[in-house]
Amino acid sequence: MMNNLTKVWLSTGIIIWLCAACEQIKDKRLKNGLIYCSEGNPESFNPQTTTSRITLDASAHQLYDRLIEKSDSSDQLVASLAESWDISDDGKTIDMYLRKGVKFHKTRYFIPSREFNAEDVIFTFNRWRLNTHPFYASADSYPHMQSYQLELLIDDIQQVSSHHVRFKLSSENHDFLTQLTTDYMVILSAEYGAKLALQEAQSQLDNYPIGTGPFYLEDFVKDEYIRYKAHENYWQGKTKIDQLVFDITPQSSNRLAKLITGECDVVAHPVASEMEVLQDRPGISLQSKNADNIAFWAFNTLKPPFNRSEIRRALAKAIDRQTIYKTIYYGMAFPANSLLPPSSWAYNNNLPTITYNPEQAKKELQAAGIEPGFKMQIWSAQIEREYNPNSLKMAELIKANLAKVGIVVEIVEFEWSTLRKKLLDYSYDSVLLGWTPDMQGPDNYFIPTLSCPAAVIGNNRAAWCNPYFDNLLHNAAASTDLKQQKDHYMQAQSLLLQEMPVVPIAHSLSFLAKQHNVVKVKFQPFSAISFKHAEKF
Amino acid sequence: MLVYLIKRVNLLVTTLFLLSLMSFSLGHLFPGDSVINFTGQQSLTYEEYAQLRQDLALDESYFMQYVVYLERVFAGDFGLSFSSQSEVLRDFMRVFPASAELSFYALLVTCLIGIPLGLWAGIKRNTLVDKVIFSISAIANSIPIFWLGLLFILLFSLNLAWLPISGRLNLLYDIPYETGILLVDIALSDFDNKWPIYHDALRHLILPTLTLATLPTTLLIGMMRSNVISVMNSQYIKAARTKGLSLYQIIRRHVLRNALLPIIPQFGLLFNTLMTSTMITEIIFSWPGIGHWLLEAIYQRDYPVIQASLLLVSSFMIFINVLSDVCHTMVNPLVRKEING
Repeated sequence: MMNNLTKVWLSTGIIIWLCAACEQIKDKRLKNGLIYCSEGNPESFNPQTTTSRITLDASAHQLYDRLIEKSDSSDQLVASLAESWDISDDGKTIDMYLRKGVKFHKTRYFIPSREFNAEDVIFTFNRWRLNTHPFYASADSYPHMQSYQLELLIDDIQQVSSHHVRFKLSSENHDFLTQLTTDYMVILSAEYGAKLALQEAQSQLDNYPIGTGPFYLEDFVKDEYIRYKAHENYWQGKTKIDQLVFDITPQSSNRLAKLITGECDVVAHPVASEMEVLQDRPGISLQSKNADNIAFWAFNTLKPPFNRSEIRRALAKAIDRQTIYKTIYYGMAFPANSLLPPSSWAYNNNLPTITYNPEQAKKELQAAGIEPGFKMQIWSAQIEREYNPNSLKMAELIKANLAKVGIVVEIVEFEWSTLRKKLLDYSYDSVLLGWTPDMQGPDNYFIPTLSCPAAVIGNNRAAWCNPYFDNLLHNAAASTDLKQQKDHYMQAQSLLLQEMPVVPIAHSLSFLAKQHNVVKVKFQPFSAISFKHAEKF
Repeated sequence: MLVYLIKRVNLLVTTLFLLSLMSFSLGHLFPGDSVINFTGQQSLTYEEYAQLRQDLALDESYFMQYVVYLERVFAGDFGLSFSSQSEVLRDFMRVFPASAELSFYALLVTCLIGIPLGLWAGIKRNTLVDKVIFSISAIANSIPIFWLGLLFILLFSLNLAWLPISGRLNLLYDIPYETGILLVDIALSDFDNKWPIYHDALRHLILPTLTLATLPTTLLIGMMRSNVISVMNSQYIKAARTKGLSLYQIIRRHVLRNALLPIIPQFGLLFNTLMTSTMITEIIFSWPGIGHWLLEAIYQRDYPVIQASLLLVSSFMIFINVLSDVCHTMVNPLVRKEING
């Protein structure tokens, strides 16, 4: 009898001990670090070479600074690495006075011997501007700069003194200073470049980054994590957190679960279907961003029969977008008719809406010579994007829609960076993608996505090049009269709807979910995420 | 004995040969250029490409190409990964210890639970204890492991919030990579106050290990139970009983040993189930091991990685199988006699 009693006590004791063991021990080291569960692998750690938001999130504000920043609340320009600037009367010469005492990262692969100066600015800009530069060829393209043709805008950059550079522009451009605040205009280290050039290891510039930003890169293990450590000598003062880790978690449901168990402090892109779970959860808060992005279905216009606009228009009519809003966005998106969201001042209100009409689509397709049984591919990424919480499911809905008009769809899914690499060959029929703007102003929706320069470098997923369209954008940018500008943009939007190189699908709200004890994560439109001021209590 | 060994080694070599042949042909069968598929180098200049083509003997007969391929394999050169552009073998060596560690703990749990429970059920044959153990193991055996893993996550992580669901360690603990075996690496690291780190590592281990151990444990219980029953029915046990040995002595001296012997070759099989389950478990719990690595490689169309991991993982499994066979022969005199006689 006694024996049995002992057994009962013993087993109770063991169970209690086991449960106690389950509780996480409070450890100061965990409080000084922050884990952000991100959705994919960055392609590199240099924003100059890409427009992929994942790469921008992992690098632009964590590792680097820009000459000028945008203020958090308004769109005013704020001094950063440039302390002040002067613009000449003709608007073609801009003098930048650089900050002194700014230190670069000291890492296991590079120890800087000098502080930031004019050489770094010139190195950074010439890297993408001059095709004779030793580092120009180490990246495939510089999509943002090249689609805006900034290499043509900047005539020359001169070093006046060690902390004074002069930009000479080929023409007056009122957006130039705003351009300098974008995620792409990060400042690299010329000294590091010289060291790599000596070792003939040019490709390392983008993969082993050195910048002046609040964190430096400690370690990146693909598909697992990115580890950043605080930059001790950051010129704005060391960050509140010592360590920042990006835990690469492609599945949205996994990110959600990890947020609930506390393994993530902040998670990227909780999808609309999960919002209800998150809203009721104590200890978790949500931040949201306006629906300024656009999800679209792009046709490869280099590939027949998608080079014919009547076919593209007919396909657009075959898509039941209402179902897409309901089942994919759960109502957290606005229908799109143009690439511009309706909130934009240049939005064309008079555009006819694209209506779902499978019968007519079928007739038009037959008239255009597309026989029933025609096969086409839709490429899709596996991960959630801001503008598209579930692009695979969207591809399946489109597949079902197109089956009704007699088109057989094959869905091809890729991991994100693989998809982006494969897209450069222009071998696809169509792809589900989207765009999140980096700058205010309507032209950021058109120039990087559908202009001719963007088609050349491969950022224009429709490979669509229409000189008339480019001309409209150019005229709009050159004009100073708001009414005239609006007029040009309206025409451009009508042209897009007529030509339909991409079918606009939705403008989606985007979210960031985090633990209550994490504050001051910068999650704002026109900018990648920033943990510079983040704190954890 | 020597003949037997030669036979086994022959089996090993033949299978490895077939595997290498298959892995080699994948380099040609995958879409894309075979130079790129074999080496994984994607940005090549024309000269580099021509040089590599020559090095790989791609203009010569398939036989010569195969010989070159084997030479590269033996030199440990599996090319570069498309997506990370680092050496495939190095990546493999990085992820392998994580899988091995998880499998090892699962095997340990399997033995610690499976053997005593099987023994108990066998001895108490047809009693309530036997029936309970047997039916629980039958139920556990029929639960698919991916479902079990998710169920554990739902219960212990999401509802009770006791245990973490992914990875090997809280990522904020920056343990330097030494052996790849986490518990050893923690010991080798120069952190002070290591107890919270060990504790965190163990918390991460519990769910994957349990998930992984479930299926082999049930198999082991079944095997052990039937072995014990057959041993208990044998003549020498009766003889031992008449000699007056206590039940405990009989179990310790005769039953356990004789029941364990036929299980040793089954360990090879158990290991196979364990390996495949490891891959699934790794994906559920985001455990950075081979399964996770291979799956990502498939998503990323990383052909050099798929090719190499196919060869490496299957060679490893075959090797373990043959090894457990040989061990069994060494330990069990009955089998030895069969072979020799």
